[in-house]
Amino acid sequence: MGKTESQQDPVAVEERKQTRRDFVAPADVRWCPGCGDYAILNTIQSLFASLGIPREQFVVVSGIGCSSRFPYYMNTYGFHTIHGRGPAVATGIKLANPDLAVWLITGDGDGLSIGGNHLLHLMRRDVDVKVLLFNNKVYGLTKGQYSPTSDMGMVRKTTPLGSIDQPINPLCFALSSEATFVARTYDTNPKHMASVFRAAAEHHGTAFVEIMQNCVIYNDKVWAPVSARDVRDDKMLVLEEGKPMTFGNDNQYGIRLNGLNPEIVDVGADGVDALGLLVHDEHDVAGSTAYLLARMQPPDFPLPIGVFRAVPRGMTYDRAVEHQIAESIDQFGHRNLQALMMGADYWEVKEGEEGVESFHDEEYERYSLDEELAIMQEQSYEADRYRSDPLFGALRTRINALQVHYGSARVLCVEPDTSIAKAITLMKEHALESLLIVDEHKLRGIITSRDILMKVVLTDMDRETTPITAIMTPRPDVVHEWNTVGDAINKMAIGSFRHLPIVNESDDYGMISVQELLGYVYEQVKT
Amino acid sequence: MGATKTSEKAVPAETHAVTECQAIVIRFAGDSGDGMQTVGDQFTASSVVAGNDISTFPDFPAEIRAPAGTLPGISGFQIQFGSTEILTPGDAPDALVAMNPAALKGNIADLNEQGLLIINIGAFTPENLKKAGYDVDPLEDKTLYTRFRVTKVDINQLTLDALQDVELKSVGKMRCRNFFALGMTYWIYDRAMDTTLKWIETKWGRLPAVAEGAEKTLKAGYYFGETAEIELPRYRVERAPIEAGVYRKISGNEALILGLVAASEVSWQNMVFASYPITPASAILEGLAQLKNYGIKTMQAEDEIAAIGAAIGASFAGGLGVTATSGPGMCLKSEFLGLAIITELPLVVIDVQRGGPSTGLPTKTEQGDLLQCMFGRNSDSPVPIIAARSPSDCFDVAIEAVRIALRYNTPVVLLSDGYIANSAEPWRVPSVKSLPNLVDPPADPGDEFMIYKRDPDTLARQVIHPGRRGYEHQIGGLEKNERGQVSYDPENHERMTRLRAGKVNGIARSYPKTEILGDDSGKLLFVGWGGTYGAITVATQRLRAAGQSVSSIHLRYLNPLPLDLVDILSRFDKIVVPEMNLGHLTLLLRAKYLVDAVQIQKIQGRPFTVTEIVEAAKEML
Repeated sequence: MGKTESQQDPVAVEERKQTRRDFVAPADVRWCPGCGDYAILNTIQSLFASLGIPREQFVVVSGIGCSSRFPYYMNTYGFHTIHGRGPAVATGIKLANPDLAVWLITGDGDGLSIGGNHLLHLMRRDVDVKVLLFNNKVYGLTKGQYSPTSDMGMVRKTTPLGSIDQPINPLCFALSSEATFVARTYDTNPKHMASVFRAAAEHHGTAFVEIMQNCVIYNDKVWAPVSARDVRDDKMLVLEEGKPMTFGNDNQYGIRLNGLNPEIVDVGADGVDALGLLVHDEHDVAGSTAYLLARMQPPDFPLPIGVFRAVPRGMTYDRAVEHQIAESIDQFGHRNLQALMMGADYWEVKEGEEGVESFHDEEYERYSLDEELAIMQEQSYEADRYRSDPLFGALRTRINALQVHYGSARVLCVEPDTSIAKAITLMKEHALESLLIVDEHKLRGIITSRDILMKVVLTDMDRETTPITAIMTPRPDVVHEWNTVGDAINKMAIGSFRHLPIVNESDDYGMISVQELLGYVYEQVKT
Repeated sequence: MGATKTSEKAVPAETHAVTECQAIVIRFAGDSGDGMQTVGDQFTASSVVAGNDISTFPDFPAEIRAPAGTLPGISGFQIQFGSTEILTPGDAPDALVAMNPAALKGNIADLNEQGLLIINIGAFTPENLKKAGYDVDPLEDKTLYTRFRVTKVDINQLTLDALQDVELKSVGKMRCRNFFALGMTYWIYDRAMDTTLKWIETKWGRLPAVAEGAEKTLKAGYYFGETAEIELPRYRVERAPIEAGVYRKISGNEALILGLVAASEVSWQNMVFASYPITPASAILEGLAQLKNYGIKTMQAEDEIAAIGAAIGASFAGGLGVTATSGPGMCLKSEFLGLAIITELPLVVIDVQRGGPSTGLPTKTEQGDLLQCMFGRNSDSPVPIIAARSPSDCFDVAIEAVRIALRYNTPVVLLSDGYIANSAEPWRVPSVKSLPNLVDPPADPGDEFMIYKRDPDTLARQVIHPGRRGYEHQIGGLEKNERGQVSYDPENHERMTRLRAGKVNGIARSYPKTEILGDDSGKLLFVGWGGTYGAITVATQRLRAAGQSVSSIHLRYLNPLPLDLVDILSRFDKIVVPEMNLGHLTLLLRAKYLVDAVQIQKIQGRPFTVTEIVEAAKEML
């Protein structure tokens, strides 16, 4: 890629040290004092600073609910969408730009009630989005109604005689939606949260994390029976990769299988190894143990926390979409809009003539330069006959034999918003006759000294503010590195260009001039 | 050209007098499995090659395969071809090809008096008559022969005879019978067989028996015409004066696909098209999904809501989000449309309208969604609405929708309808070089970036996409102040509400002048929108030819309405709005301009005929 003036140096970004403060938004945080969300927010801000991803690459997306105010408190790009639909928006963001690090903040109501369907499809598609589901088992923003994770019998304004709805288990939902990463953590343990969030961040694919979160107003201490400091050792099972499953303040209990069901056993003097305890394997592809763990809960069992499952699928949805596009381009060649518009069956009405001619061109959408190249190669035996002719040989040489230096000093690529004044300065500094306007590896246009002369000099155009897009030639002809010297000369002759952009397979641009081409041909013929 | 050659050679003029016609309407009708759409497509292709202008209207049942032989299973295809400009598929057919009793029963009421009626008597078995609900054989009704020019042909038997030596099972042979009907019509209407023969070869070249069957049946039908003992009429329609250029046949949905691809090209936008299958819009997603090498990212979302959500997410992240649906899907998308309005992101929502409410008439056309798109959201939430008027117009309208969406950073609703989506007409393929350049220079926030800082000309807000350093910001559904902070300030909300409305209203300043067909002033002005274009235009031409003071305008822009409309309306005594609903545009015109606009209504799932509009107008003049 040619040096893009306004683009930062990638090395500089990595060296730029990000701190938690960089991720703190100026807006005042407006959660209730004592809300579990504060601890989650702090943990995420610290984590983001440590991931080595520049701040501008993060997008925090949310739906509606208390937790969904999260994006406003993160000094990153953010989108506070509508109730339950965050997963859809997050999917669109990743589709348009898979390089972004997208985090989805949702709650038990937003994610499992109104937005259950979208969450399901986000996970089964394996879109590379990190999902944090704040589960406080209650509707907070609408003032205390029961939620889809509330326990049966919960009495609220809409359930005066107690809820008769069976609560949903978020982790079982995630596992049966084929999520490739499923974890649980809780708001009063920043260290555990940080380790789980980091594992989620490093996972390729949808990472689903349930956070047991306390709503201090409408459901205070709902998780206390398992997560309070004095009981948690006995009530929680901390899952650690490769380790046997034990719990209790002295690790005096273990979990093992009895047939297809788990049971609790006392770890006696013989130690852990003798008991055949379950050993945690988050990479287990089968997933039935993860499901079994997800269903374990008090009062019969401790509540497991940690990473239940981390089984990356290979290619995430957003990358697979890009991959299909790349494959399709390989197979059918780049776009050819004119051929597409004409279609396979078209007819021509000629001026003043009687005849209408009809055509059927089955290959219309497969037509491309690559195709032409293949035909040229097929016919290469013909070329062999002429190989002995140095002029013919020179014209049939691939341009890359001329050693075009992509991104070398001889070509400068600038972004579309570069001003005309800046462009002129650059051309002078580097003694260039032309500049390429490149935006995200896409060649948008070219400007030459002729453009400056014809469109700028002696006009009252404001060179400081007018972008070069105003005077550039859009969508210029390009040659590919596998084109021949003859192709390039031909293009120059037809378009009366003195310079032609040349592009290689990685979409890097170079520039080739008529002097270079003719110089090369002369050299070959002379020898 | 084959057409004239064949007619010269094969037709002794003395036995088969040829009548010259300006335009002819034919309808093919049969079971949905009878291949009537294939026959229609082929007749269309041969007619354009013969140099006629054409317009077509397929009419198929909602059920994929309704029980054979019954009325709900009828599939029809109507085509009008002519030597002058053809803008509609025609009112009543001049000829009807009925492949079975149900097809006769369902279509005979439409056939013109003394129209040509070709009946496949091979299918008139007692069983089929019963299925069609005939108690007595309609062929025994003597009035049939006085009212129409009836030609009874046993197409079933003649097909089997023609295929005696072909290696096909009899079921396979019977499936060729549509080509017999096609061949007969080619002979009657002086079409050449070349185009169809070539098509058969391409389509079934790999199944030689099928190709042979189709070819033999087609030829048998054609030669039956000249050798039949019953005398068949012959007609000839001269070439239409058509502007030079490259043409193709195009349906509305195809034109939308091409228009979207072209728009993404000329705007340098990476298009993300997310949609959920729904009749009659599904073909747009299906078509775009084939074009991955054009860089279009398509997604079949889990539902209508997710589809627009993903499109909005894509627009936020720097792509251009597009989604397509029909009425029921529009209902589901409305909350997200509100989000796109308040966050002011570019978005194109295509609504291919169908009969409603609810599931309504999925395969039939209607113009019933205008007011929904106009007002169907909470609070003041204006959205630009533009409508295509014909299949080929969909191409231009798609580009125009993208222009408005990008220039004003707003969602745009593009209305098509089931009629436009499925009918086809010739389209003069424009050169890529003639397409408008939709590239706007990227936003330059200067020293101080504010999300709702507006371009003084368009009132569009500054949109900066994630990934750009130093401009991190949050958008969302809550009301914000200019700096992008959540704001419940009363004055701010009123100001932002007015700005959103002002921005959309200002789009009208970018419209071209409204074109008037006919005089600039007079007694009656038709105001139309959408798929009624052809019928209203021909009605206007006919009324004017009869000396009436009638003009018409056809609105592409429905919100905001064009600025010159108030002046145009004031120059006519009577404003008449033909539309296929109970009065949507009529209501808007009356409310906005205080004019006594009256409506011509039709809510039958079928487009207006020219006659319906002409007759209704005559009563008003």
